[in-house]
Amino acid sequence: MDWIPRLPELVRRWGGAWATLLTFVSIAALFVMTGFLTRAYRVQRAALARQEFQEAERLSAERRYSQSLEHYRAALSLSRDNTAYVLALARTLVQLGQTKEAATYLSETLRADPTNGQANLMMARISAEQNDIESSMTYYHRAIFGYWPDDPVNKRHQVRLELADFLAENGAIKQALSELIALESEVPETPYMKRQMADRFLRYGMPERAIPLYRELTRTKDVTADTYAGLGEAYFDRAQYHEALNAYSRARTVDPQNLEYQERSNLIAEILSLDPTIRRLSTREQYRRSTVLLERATDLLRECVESMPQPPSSAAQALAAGQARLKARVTRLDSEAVELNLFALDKVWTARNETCPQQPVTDRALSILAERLTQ
Amino acid sequence: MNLNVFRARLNQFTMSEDHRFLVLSILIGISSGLLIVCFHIAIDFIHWHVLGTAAGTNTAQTLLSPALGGLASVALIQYVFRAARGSGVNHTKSALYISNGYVPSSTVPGKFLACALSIGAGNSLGPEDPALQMGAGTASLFGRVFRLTRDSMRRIAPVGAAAGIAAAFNTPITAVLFVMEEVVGSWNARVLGSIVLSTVSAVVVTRWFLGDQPLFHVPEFTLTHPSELFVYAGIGMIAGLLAVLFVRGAGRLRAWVDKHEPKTRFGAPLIAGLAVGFVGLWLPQVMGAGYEAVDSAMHNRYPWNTLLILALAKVVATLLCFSAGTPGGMFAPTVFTGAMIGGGIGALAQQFWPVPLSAPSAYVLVGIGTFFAGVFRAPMTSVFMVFEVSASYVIIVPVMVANIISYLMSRSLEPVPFFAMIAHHEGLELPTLEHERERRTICVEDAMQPPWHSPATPASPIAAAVELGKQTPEGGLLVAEESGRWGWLPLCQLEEAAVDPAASGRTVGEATQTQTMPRLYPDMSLDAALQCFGPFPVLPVVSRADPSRLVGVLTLQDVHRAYGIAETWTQNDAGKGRENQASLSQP
Repeated sequence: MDWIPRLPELVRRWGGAWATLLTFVSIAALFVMTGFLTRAYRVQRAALARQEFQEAERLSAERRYSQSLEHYRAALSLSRDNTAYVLALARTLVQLGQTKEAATYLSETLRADPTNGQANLMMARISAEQNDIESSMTYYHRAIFGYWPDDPVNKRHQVRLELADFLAENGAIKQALSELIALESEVPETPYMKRQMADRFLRYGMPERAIPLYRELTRTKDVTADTYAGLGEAYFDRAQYHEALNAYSRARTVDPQNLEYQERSNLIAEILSLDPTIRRLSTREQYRRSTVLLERATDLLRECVESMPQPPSSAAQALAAGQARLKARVTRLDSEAVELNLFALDKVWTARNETCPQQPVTDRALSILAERLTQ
Repeated sequence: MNLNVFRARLNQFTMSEDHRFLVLSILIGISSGLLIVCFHIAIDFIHWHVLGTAAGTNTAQTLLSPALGGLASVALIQYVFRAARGSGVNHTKSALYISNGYVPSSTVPGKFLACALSIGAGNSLGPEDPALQMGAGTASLFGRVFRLTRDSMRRIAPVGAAAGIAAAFNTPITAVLFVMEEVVGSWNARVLGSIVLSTVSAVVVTRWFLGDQPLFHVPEFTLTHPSELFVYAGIGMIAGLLAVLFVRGAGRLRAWVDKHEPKTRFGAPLIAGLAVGFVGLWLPQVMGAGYEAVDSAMHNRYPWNTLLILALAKVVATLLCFSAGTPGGMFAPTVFTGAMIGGGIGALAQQFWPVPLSAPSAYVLVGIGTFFAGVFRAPMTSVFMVFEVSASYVIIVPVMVANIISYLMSRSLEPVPFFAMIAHHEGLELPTLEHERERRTICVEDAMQPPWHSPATPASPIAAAVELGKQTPEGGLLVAEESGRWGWLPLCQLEEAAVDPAASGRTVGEATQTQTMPRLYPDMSLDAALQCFGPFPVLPVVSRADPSRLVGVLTLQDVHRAYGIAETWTQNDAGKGRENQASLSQP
């Protein structure tokens, strides 16, 4: 290194022009050297980041999230621009419950790219967790209309389904249904999406939209027992008990071991055996069914009244009226007699619900029919 | 082309010194930028190979590498590059004030290798101060190669220093301010232009090679409630207090290490390195510059207690490394400590403050400059540093509050600034902008006397003027001429004119010729006034609004009195004044 202190002297001896030339040559040489060094540095940095990311992904796949977190962090510190690393880190942080930190990374990503679908979706979930419904909805909508690098159509549909679920969970059933209706127009003809849609229409109280979707699904060759059960449930909600029973029978054919389907079928059969409003029943049969329903309802109200030290007078009156109607002698079996039974049933059932709302009703067939008939 | 012809043509292409200086500033900026890019890469390569990408994962390496790196770097400085010892800021200042701009060229490779080793190996130090010194060394080399004059040579080291720091921290404004505040010590317009040119060149080069990524990924900042300013003030107070403890601790430890030389020459860096390695086993964030940890803190990674523990651990680790003489800078550790203090207090306040506060990341960001302001006493730099890093206008008020409080706390509790303390240990006495700022300027109005008499005018009769002149202690008359000009008429000249029979009944303007003299204003500094005296024993002090209105007079005796110079000097000087007066009366 002896030559370094002597460099100015040497250069001076060569003259000003040469000094200038030498300076420019030195700077150019340094520039080229820095260029090579930087390239090597970038390559090495990217390789290390990739290595860390792969290790993190491996640990994450093994559900070792806290260990994978450190590797995600290392990957990100080596390649700070990489959105995939940021999103993976944020995802892991959310899984570990560190949502504040995740939100900071995601906000930063969204500041740079507000259309990032994945980041918007994660922010929507974080906001939902923090009960910030308004922000959550905004992020969900941004995710729906945002950019998704692969399979964008499917991703957007998934996000809309998730938004519908989120809205329904927060009591905004109408908004949830409007999201589903919006999705219905653009949903692809895949059994999976049809099933998702049908299930949600059913769950959120629009069985009439679920039925055609289920029916389409039952026409596919890979039809499952669940699909028949879904269809059965949709018919059940629409009070189309014959069709519901038929669908459940098919479900049982596909999956005979399923006890739930068996129970559901029994219930529907019982409802069918009790429902006095089914068409083409004789007046006698209608009268018989209405009397059975009134009897069961009166029994329930009596149990309720007897369980109370001082039952309200309205309940006692309703009970007396029910019992009187059961004891009354019927001279003519006509539709008026049926109507009187159903009128008494309405009174008894309403009194029972008002007096003992907490007491569970074990007689589900009665409950379903009484609710429907008293509406 | 013949070589001699080429040489002659090149020699024909000449520039003025000022132009050459400006062109050199750009070349210095480019060269420093290139060097700092290589320095940055070298630190990272060493770090990856020694500690891996995630520090603290390998126990043996984490424990031993700072000590071994520190030892190797100290050995390099001790045996190969002796000129590269000490603080970069003080070296550059001594080039400016002591050695006529000379910074040994071996400083550049010396600092490069030694600091890359020590910082890359995990010692708790930063790359900015070495970068500053490398820049200054490069600039000095260029100055010598291009045969700058002595005055230009003195100015060139700060130009390189600014380029170095701008390239290392990727913040041109901060670099300019830091060098003006800490190295140059005054706002010199001649240097400022060159410094700006060199920093811009250096930053352009750095961004060209390393990308234009900011040092920190700063989350969005919002000030949610005005009462938050109290929390920011609290951050400033605590950071200022800690800065005082840090400066005092560094001074004492450094003195102890110096006292026990040569035993501590290698022993101290070894112990400091081991201590850093030991701390690094639990808190790997304190190793190296620590910018990644600051970035993580801004992303709400740590709870308040971890942030405060990190701040204290970093202070201790840096104190040990710095006092042990391990090569490296203090810029990054102060940024780290401030950020952690800010984040810790902000996160703590969030739990107890009656109104909702900003996210802790905002406090981390504001805290960045507080410890820096307290340690380096560079308040302007600290404010602009955060502003430049965050690119947010909203943040400026909290940053100003926190940083200025930290600065004032530090200044009131510790009279000696950090760099002055280091200079003292290095056996240097260097000026600081803080001293410059705090030096009281004596103005003309502090020294002047009321006018002895109404000034004569060119229309005054000679006889009356002679009578007036005899009453003045300085033996002459101030003459108020037209357009606010002032003249001096020595008494002897007046008397000569008065005895001339032809002059009887004539006015001062007709019979004599006055000497035009400079006029002073009450707000002028006495230093500036002193340079105006020339041969005149007295100068008129006039109103700026109306220069023909005399508000006072100033004599050399008044100046001496104001500066507290002994009376005997004043009398001698008065004698000289009379001699001057005599010389003025000569035709």
